[in-house]
Amino acid sequence: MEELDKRAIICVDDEAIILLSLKQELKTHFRDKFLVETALNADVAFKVIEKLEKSGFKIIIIISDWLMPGMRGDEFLIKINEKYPEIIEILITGQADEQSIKNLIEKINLQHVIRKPWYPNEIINIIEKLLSKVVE
Amino acid sequence: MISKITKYSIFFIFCLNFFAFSEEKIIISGIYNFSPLVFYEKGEAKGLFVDILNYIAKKENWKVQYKFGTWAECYENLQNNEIQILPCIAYSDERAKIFDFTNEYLFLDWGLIYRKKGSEISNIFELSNKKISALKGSIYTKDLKNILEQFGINATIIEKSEYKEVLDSISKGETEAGVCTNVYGSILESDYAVERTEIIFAPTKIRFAVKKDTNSELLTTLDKYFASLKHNQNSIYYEKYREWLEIKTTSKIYQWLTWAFIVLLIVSLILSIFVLMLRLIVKQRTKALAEANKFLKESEQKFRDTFEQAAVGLAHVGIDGKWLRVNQKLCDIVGYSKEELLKLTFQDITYKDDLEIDLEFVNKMLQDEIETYTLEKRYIRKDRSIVWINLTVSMTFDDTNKRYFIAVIEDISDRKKAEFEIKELNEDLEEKVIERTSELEITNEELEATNEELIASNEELIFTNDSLEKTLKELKETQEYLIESEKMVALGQLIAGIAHEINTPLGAIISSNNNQNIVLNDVINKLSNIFLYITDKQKTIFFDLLEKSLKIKYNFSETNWEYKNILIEKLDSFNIKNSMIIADNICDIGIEFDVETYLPLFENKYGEEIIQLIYEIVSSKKANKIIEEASNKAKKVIDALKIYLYKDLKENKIEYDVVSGMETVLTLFYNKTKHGVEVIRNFNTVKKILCYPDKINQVWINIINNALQAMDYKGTLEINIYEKDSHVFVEISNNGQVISNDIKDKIFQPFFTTKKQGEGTGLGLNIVKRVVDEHNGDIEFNSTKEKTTFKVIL
Repeated sequence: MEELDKRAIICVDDEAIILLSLKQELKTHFRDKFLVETALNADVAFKVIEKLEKSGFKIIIIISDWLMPGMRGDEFLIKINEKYPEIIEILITGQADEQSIKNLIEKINLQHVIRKPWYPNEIINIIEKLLSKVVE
Repeated sequence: MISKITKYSIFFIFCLNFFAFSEEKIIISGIYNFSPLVFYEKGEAKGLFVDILNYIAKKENWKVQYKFGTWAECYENLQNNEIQILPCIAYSDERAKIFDFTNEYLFLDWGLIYRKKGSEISNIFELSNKKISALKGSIYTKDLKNILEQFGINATIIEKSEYKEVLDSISKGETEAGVCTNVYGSILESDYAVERTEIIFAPTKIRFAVKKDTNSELLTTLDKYFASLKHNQNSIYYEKYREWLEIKTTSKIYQWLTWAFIVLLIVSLILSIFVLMLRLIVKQRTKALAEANKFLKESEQKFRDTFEQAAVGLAHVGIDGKWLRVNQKLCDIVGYSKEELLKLTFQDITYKDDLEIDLEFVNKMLQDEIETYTLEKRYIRKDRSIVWINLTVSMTFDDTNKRYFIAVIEDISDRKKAEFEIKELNEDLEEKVIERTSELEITNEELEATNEELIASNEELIFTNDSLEKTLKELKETQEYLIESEKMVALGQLIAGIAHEINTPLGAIISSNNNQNIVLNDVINKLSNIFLYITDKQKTIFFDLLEKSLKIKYNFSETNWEYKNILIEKLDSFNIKNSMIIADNICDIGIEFDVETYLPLFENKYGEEIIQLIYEIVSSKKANKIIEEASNKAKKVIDALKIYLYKDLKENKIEYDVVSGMETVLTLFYNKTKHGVEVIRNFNTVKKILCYPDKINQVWINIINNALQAMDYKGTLEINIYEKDSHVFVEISNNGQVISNDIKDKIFQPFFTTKKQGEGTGLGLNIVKRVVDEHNGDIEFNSTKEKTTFKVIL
């Protein structure tokens, strides 16, 4: 496996079924292009990032839920943005609090908000687009 | 032995007695100046009585000590036991009450009045209005006072303590007369400018005296001696008598004169007593007459006063009707003067209508048919006005046996006036009754009319009532609607959270379903291809692992990084590409620890593909599981919503389990509570209650909603459900903001809210209260710093 291919996507959600679905979906689509890792909350996510980096992985995308026990999604993404500005952030939420989303978009240049339930290929398409931009 | 001692004792006592008798007995005697019987001269007691006492004392072996004083002092000393004996004291019954006297007397004395030399006082009546000096406490002084009183003679007695002073005051003109005794006077009189009058009185026997009930032995001894001394003409008594008194009575003629005088004295005494008695009788009779006279006068006066001052009119009237005697009151009643009235007859002043009946009575009385009569009639006053009177008449006889009437006339104008007024009032009342009756008849007609109106308005009221009932029904419906709309408001607030709760499983379902479709197609293709190339061993391992994998129970767990790393290293040692992905797949399949089984796969080609294939098959199964779980989750929320939105259209209450109801409500709130609110459930199994479940759920929702808002969705929400005394208790507590005292009374009022406009309807707790009331339950709340609790009792 080439070093360049050692890329990872991290999914953060407090609902296990979401994490499992997401991982399956991403793994099925991207196969060995990415390592897909999951975390039930922000704290675990930070640990996963740390481990992956140690193992020489580059984290390209973080997909995070909005409402989570402990650190909330928006707060988590702001911190990630501060620490790893190159990581692309995608917010996935079941709640439509437009004002909060607007605020977050302004704050961390968030461009991708996926609302639950997402359509088939919705996430895949977004990621594909993002990846093509990165390649360019 | 004993008798011997007794004998000696008796002898001894006898000796003592003998000794005592042989000793001098001391007797203290009073002495005062009453020469020549007793007197004190140059420190020595002298006189007839002293000589006799000394004589007896010598015989009896007494020692007499004399204590000098005035007569009054001696008298007092004897009373106070200062002296044992007083010689020379006149006997009187009064004194006998406090003193005991000797039976025998040694001298006879009497009182006599002295006048100033040249004065004309010669009989007792001439003492009238005179000043008389006399010895204080002397028996003569007392006697004189009695005599003067008996004779009604008014004189002033000036008391002195010595006879010398008595005579001195006469000679100095201080008094006009004085009392002295015959014997002492004869000694003193030559020293003063006084002379004897013929007034003598109170012959007295001079004796010895001791205090009553004391020294009786002494008295007995003295009497014994006196008797024998008086009996023997040659005794020391007569010797001393002559010696002390013969200054004046040297001859026997004088002695005779003395006796003659005594006889005279007694005769005059008897005479004076006789005179005295006569005077007394006269005085008494005069007094009785005077009293009778006075009584008559008083009676006459009383009668006159009674007649004159009586509060009623009184009159004596002749049988011809002439006023004979009238009193002032009568004059006042009829307004005539006494003189004017006495010239008239009663007929003259009687009101003509009343005269006839009065005369009838008079005739009857004159014919002895009646003894008395009473009549109310009118008099014409002098000023021609009429006065009503009550007349009572009786008849009597005068001195000359002439008949006349006694009339009592009482003014009754006031009473008559009052009677008249009452009569008038009565008549007036009767008129008024008639008047009122007719008025009442009118009123009655009016009332009947009003009644009809009332019936009409009652009908109107019934109509109004109907419409009110209708309105009430409408209001009730409105209330129902309000509850319903409140429910919708709560739902609106919850809907965002509920959407999330549904969107999340939906997301998982859609994603998994799509994935499953892709995977299944892929798996079928791969299976047919790969089985053409892989070894039999690999085939065996494939089925082995697949069988194991499918048996693994779906369980989400975090990645075991340590083991994953070890696995990656092992795979790397086989020079396997994509060790990372393969390790991840192995972990996802859940067979990571079964290294010995799956490692041989990589001895040949297609090991990675075989693992991928197993992963996909397992994924497909997992997707199914996710869909199932997500569907259940979504169903639970939908169910809760369904329960919440359910409206029982039936009127009847149904059985409801508070615990499961509460769980449903908490499901709806799950999204609001899961981040930051610790929900403590203390749920006990409780009996099912009959209620309208949708309404009761609304109660829980409203209370919990308020609780969460009060603690800003952070803190502890504690819910206790328990059964006590066959009631179900639900306590919902939060540790948020306190309900301040000033709004405690208002929180159940409709449209009261502390929330910003638009955030709350202000109906939440009001609905809670109404629903609880509707279920005959009770709601209480208590708010402290620690926590606010709403307690619902059903």
